[in-house]
Amino acid sequence: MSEQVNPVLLRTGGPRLGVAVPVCAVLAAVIAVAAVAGRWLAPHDPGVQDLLNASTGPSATHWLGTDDFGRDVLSRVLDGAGSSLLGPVVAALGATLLGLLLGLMAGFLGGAFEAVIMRGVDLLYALPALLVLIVLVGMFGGGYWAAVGILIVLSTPGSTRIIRSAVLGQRTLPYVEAAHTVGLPRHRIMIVHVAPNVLPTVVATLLLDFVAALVALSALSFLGLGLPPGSTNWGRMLAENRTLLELNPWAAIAPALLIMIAAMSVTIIGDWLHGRLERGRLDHD
Amino acid sequence: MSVALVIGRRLLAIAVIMIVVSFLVFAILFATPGSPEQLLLGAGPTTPEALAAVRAKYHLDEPLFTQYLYWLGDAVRLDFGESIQTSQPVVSVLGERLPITLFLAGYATVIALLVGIPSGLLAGLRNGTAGDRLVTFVTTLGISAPSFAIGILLLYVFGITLGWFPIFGAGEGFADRLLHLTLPAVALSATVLAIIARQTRAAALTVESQDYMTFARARGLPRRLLFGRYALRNSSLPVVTSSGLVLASFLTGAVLVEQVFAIPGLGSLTVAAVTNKDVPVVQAVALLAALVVLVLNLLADLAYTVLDPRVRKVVFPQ
Amino acid sequence: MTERTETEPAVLAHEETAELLDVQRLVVSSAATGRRVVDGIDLRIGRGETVALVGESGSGKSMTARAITGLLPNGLVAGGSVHFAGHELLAAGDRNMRRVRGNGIGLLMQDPFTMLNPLTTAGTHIAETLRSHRSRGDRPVRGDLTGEVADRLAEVGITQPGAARKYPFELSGGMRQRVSLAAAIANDPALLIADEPTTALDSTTQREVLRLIRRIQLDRAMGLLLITHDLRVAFSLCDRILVMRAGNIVDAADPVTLRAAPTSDYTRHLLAADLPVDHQRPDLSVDAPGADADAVPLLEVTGLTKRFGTRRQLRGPDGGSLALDGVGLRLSEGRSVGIVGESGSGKTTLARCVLGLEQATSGTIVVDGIDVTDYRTLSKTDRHRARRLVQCVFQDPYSSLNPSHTLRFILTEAIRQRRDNGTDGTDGTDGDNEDDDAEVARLLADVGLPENYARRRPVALSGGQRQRVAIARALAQRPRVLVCDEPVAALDVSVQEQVLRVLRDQRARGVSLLFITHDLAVARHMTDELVVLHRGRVVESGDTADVLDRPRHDYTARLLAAVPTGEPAWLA
Repeated sequence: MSEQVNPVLLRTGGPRLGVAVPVCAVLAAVIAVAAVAGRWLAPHDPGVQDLLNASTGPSATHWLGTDDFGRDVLSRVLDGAGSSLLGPVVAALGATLLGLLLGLMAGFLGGAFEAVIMRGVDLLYALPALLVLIVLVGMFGGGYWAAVGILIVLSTPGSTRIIRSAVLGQRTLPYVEAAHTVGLPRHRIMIVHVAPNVLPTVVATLLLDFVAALVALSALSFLGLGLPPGSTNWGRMLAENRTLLELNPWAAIAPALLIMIAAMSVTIIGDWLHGRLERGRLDHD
Repeated sequence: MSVALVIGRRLLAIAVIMIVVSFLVFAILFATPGSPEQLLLGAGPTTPEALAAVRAKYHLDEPLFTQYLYWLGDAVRLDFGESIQTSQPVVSVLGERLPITLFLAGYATVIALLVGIPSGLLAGLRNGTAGDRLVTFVTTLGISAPSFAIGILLLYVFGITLGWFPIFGAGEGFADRLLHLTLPAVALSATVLAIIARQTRAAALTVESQDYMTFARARGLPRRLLFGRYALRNSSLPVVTSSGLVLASFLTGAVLVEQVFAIPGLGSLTVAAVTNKDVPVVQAVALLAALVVLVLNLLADLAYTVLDPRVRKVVFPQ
Repeated sequence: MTERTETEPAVLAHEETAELLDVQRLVVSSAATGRRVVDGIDLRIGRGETVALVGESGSGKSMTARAITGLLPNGLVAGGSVHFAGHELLAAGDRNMRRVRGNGIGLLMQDPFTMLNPLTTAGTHIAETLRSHRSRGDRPVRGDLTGEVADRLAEVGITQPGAARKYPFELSGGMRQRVSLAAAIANDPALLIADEPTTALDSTTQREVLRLIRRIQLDRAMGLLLITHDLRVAFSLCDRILVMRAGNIVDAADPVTLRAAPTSDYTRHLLAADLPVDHQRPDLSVDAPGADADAVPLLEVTGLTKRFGTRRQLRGPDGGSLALDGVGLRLSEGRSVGIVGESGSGKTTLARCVLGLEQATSGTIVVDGIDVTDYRTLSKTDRHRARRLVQCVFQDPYSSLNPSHTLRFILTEAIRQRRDNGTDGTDGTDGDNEDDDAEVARLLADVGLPENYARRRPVALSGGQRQRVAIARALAQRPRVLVCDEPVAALDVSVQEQVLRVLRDQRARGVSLLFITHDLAVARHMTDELVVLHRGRVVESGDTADVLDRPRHDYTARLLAAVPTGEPAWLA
């Protein structure tokens, strides 16, 4: 469900969302802090069970209540932030960097190079990525980081396509041709002339790849794949506490909301940043 | 070139791709950790006789390629063997689950189209208004949030707190099924709805600023024509182009949504099969998924060809 | 077409006023900033009268047309009064305006390639206009209109059977503009507003379409408001001319008076900037050193052929589409050779092959003894030398410069590359020790820009300034040949001249020009020799004066006849 989202967002744009952007920036910052320092911010030990106080609603000691083992939901959510977000960060960096490399080479150098890269990209692009991920991780195992690796391979085609088409948009512009006729070497034209003009697209791709990876990896752990039971990954918590919706809904809703807020705020920031950089490129200082 | 010939060529291409896919799918058995015999026996007794029976049944003593041909020959006749979990024939397991998932996906498609296109068109033609910002905000949420998280929230609000909808199962009979599958269909359609709305909005915006729209207005054409023949038809092109991929995303979405709402469809079957290493079922589901993706893309291309005369005249020159 | 279907008497009731259109104190301004695009203009058009609104880009002439028809883009608002056939239009509301549009006032726009709905046929465009203004009861069914659609197409000179069933992409630019015209006037409006109707067309097509508009206008006694940047077209077509600048009308007179005695400095300036095709203006002539046609050629192109197409098409029987077919030319040191022709003649392809941006299918290109037909096969030294010898200026000033970098960066990079190119020990450094910043300043001065512009990015420059920076970048290589591909085609007349002067100065310094243009007047002023290209072939070549004064080939004669003379007889 993620692979076609990137191009849609980048191609469609939208009106200015006004106050939503700073709000999202604050939310994203809070989540980022939780991801780095969550483990130390947690009021309770996320692993300690208290079966007498299982599945209770929010209270003064347990702000978000407890799960069916009596573990503190807030502490578990904070503890899980790091593991829930690190994988997506790595996957996004990997897919965007590979996409930048392949996209620049395919778009700028063209020829047989482009044909080979794009043939492979098109083949992978048509795959329902998450489904493939589920089957591969589920059948062959390998754990969380194997899943991140597979995800990089599956998301690179999307990034490559976006970055290549941005490069193609520049390649035939007269300023690039003029650089050729001045006699500049090709690698210099690619890095000094084309790359800065596709930078807005690259930045946006990075952020949107992060969102897609967050969704994919959360979905995987939601299905119980790639992580051991009892892990504090948000997707896993959501799945395990789904049955508590009537006793302590927060045990399932908190991780669900956090995934949604993280995905949403990074998307909106990505959209905004893309528009801003794109305008900045064309505006004078 | 005749219409039949063009479609025939595409179908042939699909057949070729399906053969490649089938080999990859067949390879799942050997790539899965553990020996094939053990996998195929599942939790059954591992007596030497049972092992020998499995080896004979699945031709495990033949060379790999011969095994594949045996398997392919069966698969073509829709015989994918028996499920390791239930010992039922895989085809009948699929047959039980498929209608539920088809219903769910169809329902979600209808929701996505009926809500996505009008809201996108409205946002595009009323560019920059509060309504446009609302549509953009909500679709951004729909595009970025995973369906299972949306599903949980819907389940809590409309299923548990308000009690308007049943909270699990697929229901019996059309009306009951419609009721049971409403929340899951909404959760499933969220991403696709948002994509369709965003694309429609962008297309409507682009079309709105085209010279041919101004020229149409300058000739005093009625609003009905401006909206239909001009805005809607031209906006639909980019949406149709990507519709194959977009609809194929229901495949993955169904896996998650069925899990949230405990719906006995293909999605939950896939999860159970993968978790239990039920190789024959996984193979059949994977082949089915590949076929669905290919056919949806073919349909999208055909729809595009019919809509755009520039493409039509290239594909079907008179 | 004398018959009128008067279906909206409320609007078309002929109150016998003298004026058909009476615009007073029209203001068009930005709703957000209040900035005025049109600043209180008055404009009157009588029945059957032809009036031209002439101005350069940004003068507000197009927005005037949009304001009259109530079709201003979002964010712009109109004030003042627009009276049409006895009714105030600015306050009419969208519903009433829809009755006026197409019915009372027709609008024809500039670009035939974007004006028609790509998904519907030519016939549908006309039929939908015909149908849309008839009341429900007497609205004809689709099939009944076939005959009328054919009549309307015939009126604009399209008589081929089946033309009505063609989609826009199957028609040429000229045909599309004819279809658009037929659709715009299908309901016999009393006034046609034509906004740059022929600017996107080739010169020969331009004349045909203008003649057509003229004929229909006379037949129907239709009022015409022509919006154009071209004074000569206005002179030929119109009874009265209004010159517009920065939102104001600065001159209004009949053609004869305006030509003889313009009242505003701006109009005088426009008239002075006009390049004649039949002689060279003395202020633009050049006495180039060593301009000897018989010297050893600096650039020699022989038998150049270029085919486009996929690999399979190129191997196939027709070998792809033929863009250049055995083209030859010689450019000697200090000379200027012009390549003229219409779009599709192959002139840009020729330039691109010379620059190594396109690979010729066969033939040779030799620059100062180096065979540069295939840049990829050159040794590093030769490639560098060739790159330094031949430089280029492109048509579109807006994408010629990298928006991410400052002018200093752009020019410094070119200067350093020249030094790198010169590592073979030849004239790359020219033995000078000028530092980069000083050279950047000198290059800017050479093209008439102040030194402090070096800090700017391209976006802060006008089109003409950008084009001059593009020339400076080319000059940084100290080239001996400058390939100019339509360097002034995208610029306003008054700006054109500045760029042409910069190029003339370079000619005076001995730089040879390969000058590609569709504009014969520009060719007259900028070239010593002309090569006329038609469908990829050279149809005629020789001294510029000879070719333009005594064309031998029929095609050259047609091109010359298509240059607006500014006389009414040109459209007769």
